Amino acid sequence: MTPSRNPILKAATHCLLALIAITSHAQTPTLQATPAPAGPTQRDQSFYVPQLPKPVPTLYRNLIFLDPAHGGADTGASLPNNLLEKDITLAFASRIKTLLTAAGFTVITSHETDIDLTTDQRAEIANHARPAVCLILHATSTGTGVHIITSALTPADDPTATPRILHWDTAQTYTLPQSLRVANQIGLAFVDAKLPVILTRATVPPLNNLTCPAVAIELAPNPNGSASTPASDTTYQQQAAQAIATALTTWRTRNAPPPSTTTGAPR
Amino acid sequence: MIPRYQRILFWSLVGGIALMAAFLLHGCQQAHKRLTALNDATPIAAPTTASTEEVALYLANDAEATITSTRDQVALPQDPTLRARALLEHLLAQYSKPDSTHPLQPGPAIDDVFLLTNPDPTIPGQLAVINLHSAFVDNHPSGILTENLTIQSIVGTLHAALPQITQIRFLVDGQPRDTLAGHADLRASYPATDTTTKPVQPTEEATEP
Repeated sequence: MTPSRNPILKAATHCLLALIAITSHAQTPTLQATPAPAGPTQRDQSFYVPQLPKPVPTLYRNLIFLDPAHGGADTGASLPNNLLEKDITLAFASRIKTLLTAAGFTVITSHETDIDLTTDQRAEIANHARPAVCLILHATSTGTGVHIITSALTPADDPTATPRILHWDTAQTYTLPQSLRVANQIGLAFVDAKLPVILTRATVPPLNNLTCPAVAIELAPNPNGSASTPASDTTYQQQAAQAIATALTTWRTRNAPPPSTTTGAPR
Repeated sequence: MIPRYQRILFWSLVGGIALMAAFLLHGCQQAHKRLTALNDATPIAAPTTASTEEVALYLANDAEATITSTRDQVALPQDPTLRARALLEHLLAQYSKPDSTHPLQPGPAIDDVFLLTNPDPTIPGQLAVINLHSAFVDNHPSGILTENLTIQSIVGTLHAALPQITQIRFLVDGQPRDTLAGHADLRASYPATDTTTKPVQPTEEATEP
């Protein structure tokens, strides 16, 4: 390289560096204040204000959330023949999912394999999905028939006035009237299927934390003459699953709000 | 012709078998009595100074899913804390009887009952904290309905006997626990109310929006 070219190269390098510096400076985000909502007293203020959460969207009328209770280290109740509640609920959920899918529903489940999930995690999955109905599935060896349980919370005075922020422990309050209707509809389907059914209310996690219409269904031994059919019986599970699918199809037709063009309408 | 010594041996063996059979039968009868006595465990002994009085017990029935109020004569101490504990022990002892409609394992269930001023000043009355034995919780049958009936039975009975209690919370061996036996929430605060329950059947009217 000749000495005469050095100053030219140096000048070119300086120009390039300056150009890069200018470009990078222009792309650096500057900390700008979030403007306060336009109002007569806050128009010119430039400080941070907490953004109000977006309005809660309404439910997806074709979406059903299934939560087979227990799993992983949490085995649930011990049932006859060394069966565990977590295995029975998983099998029962699979049957319901098949029938609901055939009826045109989209079904999501909290889990499809034997994994550990806290009740809060299950509620988070359901609340993010915004399903039309949440079903929590249980099985037991005590009592008789099918137990349909809804939250023991007191329903909100005005369920249509859902606040922007829901308290985690009482999130079910605003959809409780719908939960009670779903429970009743499922109960009617069990009566039609000649299965004994009991509707009751209880404080069972995660019912109180769900923002969707939520019902817990507990399969107990089905009295059958002098003997009784355990919850693990496949025919009994299939009958119950069929009744649930029928009930949800009827409920969607009669109670789910029709699609609308407005934002956040049921889809 | 059978030799004489063989005949003596034969009858000796027959006698031995008869004696062993009698011994075995006696042993079986003793074991049966012992097991029956365990099932029929009576409630804790009442204090000698306490007088018998009539109280309302809210008894659960698993098959019918009901809580019904029944009257019973119980000797209870006057101190509210001891009174609540003795009452609940008496209530839960009913469930360990052989003819119970809500069968539970026999044994001590209530460790302590604490009556406190309600931490929320907007709620009048007292807060009862019931400290359960872990043995009772670990042996409790698992299921939403049966666990909920146990809690409602305790809440209803306590409310009827001590109306100043407005809220009830549960601990197990002094520590908070998530659920009673995997289902009913033990971290929740239960309002003390009349918990009489009847089974609800679905109706066509209740499905209307």
